[in-house]
Amino acid sequence: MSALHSLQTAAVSIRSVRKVYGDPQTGPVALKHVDLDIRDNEFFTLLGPSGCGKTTLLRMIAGFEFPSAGEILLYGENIADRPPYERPVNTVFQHYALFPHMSIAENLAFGLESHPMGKRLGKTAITQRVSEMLALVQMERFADRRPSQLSGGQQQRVALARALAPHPKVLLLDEPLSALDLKLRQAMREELKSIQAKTGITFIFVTHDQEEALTMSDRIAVLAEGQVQQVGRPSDIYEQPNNRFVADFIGETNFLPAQVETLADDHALLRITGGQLMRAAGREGLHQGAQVTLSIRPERLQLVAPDSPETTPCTLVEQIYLGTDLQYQVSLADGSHLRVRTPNRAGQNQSFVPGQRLGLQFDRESASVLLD
Amino acid sequence: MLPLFKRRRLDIQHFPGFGGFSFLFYLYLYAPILVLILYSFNANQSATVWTSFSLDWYRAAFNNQALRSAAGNSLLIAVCASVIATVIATLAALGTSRGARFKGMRLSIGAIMLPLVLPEIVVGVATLGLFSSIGLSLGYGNLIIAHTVFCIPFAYLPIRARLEDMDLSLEQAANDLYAGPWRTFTKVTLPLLMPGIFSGLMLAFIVSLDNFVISMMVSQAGTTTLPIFIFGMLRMGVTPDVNAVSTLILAVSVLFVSLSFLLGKSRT
Repeated sequence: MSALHSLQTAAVSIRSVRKVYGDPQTGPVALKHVDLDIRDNEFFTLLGPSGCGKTTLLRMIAGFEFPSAGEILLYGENIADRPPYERPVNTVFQHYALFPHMSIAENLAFGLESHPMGKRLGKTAITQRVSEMLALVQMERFADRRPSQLSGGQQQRVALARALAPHPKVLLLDEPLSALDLKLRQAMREELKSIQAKTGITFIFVTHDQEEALTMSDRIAVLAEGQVQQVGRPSDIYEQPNNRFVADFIGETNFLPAQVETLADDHALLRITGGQLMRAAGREGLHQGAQVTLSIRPERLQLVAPDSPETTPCTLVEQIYLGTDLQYQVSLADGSHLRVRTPNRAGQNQSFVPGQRLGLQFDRESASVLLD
Repeated sequence: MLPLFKRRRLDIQHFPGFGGFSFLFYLYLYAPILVLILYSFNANQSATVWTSFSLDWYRAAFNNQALRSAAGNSLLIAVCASVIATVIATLAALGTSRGARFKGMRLSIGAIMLPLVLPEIVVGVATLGLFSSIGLSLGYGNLIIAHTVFCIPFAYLPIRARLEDMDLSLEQAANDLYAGPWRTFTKVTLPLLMPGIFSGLMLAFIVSLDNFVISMMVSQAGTTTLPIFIFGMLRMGVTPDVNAVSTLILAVSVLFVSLSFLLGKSRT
């Protein structure tokens, strides 16, 4: 029953997809083996460093690349071998790819006129849809301009409207914000999110920017070296990273060696070097006495007076002013370095001196056990 | 401090005599042409003694029936050859930069460009030999075929340059927006390629219009082209009307090459 249910609601299913360029035996492997289900009406992000295969995967959904093995299902239908112009998905390109020889309105009408359904639509219906789309991205005034007469942010909106105009079942976005400056990027994040909610179309968003992924996505798939490392909601990915790569790639973190002391049904007690006992969510494959690595976010650590109870002694190495936050680097008795971050609140920040002896306090449940 | 610093830069512009040398260099390049243009406006019967300004020689050239017919031949051949060459060059450029990579592609591109560097006299003799051995006698047709061959690389260069500059994602965007191969080609690739195609057409036109060696070999009675006709006029000595015709050809060439350059550079 639940399998049937997931089959019905998956907008895109990636089944055992592999991609090798050139020779199947010796060529470079872009994707090793990817299985993913992207739900209907979801803002789904493929996140990873450059070369992880996220763009290859997106281009295979669009139809610009074809998988070496495996299936790509769009609402249950295998589209892996279809050319891009026979797939009801549209793409927002990284550098927009607006047709320079057409006006903005002509750019928007292009997909509608090419679409087999669109040919039956007629001129008035197309014109109406174009102005609807221009209104959606607040670009009505620019209908007769050429793309070269628009700013980067405006071109971005036009590219979005053009891709949405033919009512695609899934919208693919290939790092669309990377060419914008910071302020515009932040504004566009909110706008993309609200347009996704308004249109109810499934968005698949590719980015290497973890902040973008965390703030916009319903779910994230973290990719590295041609494989999916973890899939989950932003808070799952951030709070409970699966492995060292995910913990390190998403935000800042500290790695601490620890030993499993007690195992309970849903949690484990671990003792870190330096003596303190930590509690973390249980994981398959843990056994008593096992040596593991813990990931602890810098903002889950506090610096307190050296002799406070339940603290680990440490020494302040340096203090960095970050504007919104203050970051400290401390060293433990065994020589390992940790980062600590506290919000920059007026009057509440103790001033420390490098070399000062302090106590390090861990939030309970703040650590996650990494599998490798 | 500043002048010292300046002098330490090895700037060739500050070498002694740089200005004078540059002047001599340009004089060397253009003096013959300047003299030719100047004397085409000379009223004197002799081509070497200046008396006063006049347009008589242009009038004489326009009234020369044989010259006009040679110019007509040249135009006809140049238009036909450059159009055919541009069509072939466009297809070749699309094949070599948009088609799937194939074995021997670099060799094919090299073979397209080769006529640029082949000795013209050899091509001329070979073409003449081939035409007479197969008994091909099409009048204008012979010249058009021969001109098309050496026009192709000139048309191919700007078209291919334009294609290579074109963002591949534009054609992908068209595909993504439900346009099949034909619609993508006619609505996106071809309109964006047009400046390159025109640029190639102009270059090919001029190369055909100015050609002498190959035309000399291939042309038959009745298909004398303008360069061959001018060569014939010179046998009777350098007369001022030759200067006038040459100046006109020069003006047309400069106009078309400039147009070709501007179109090749234009951004749409």
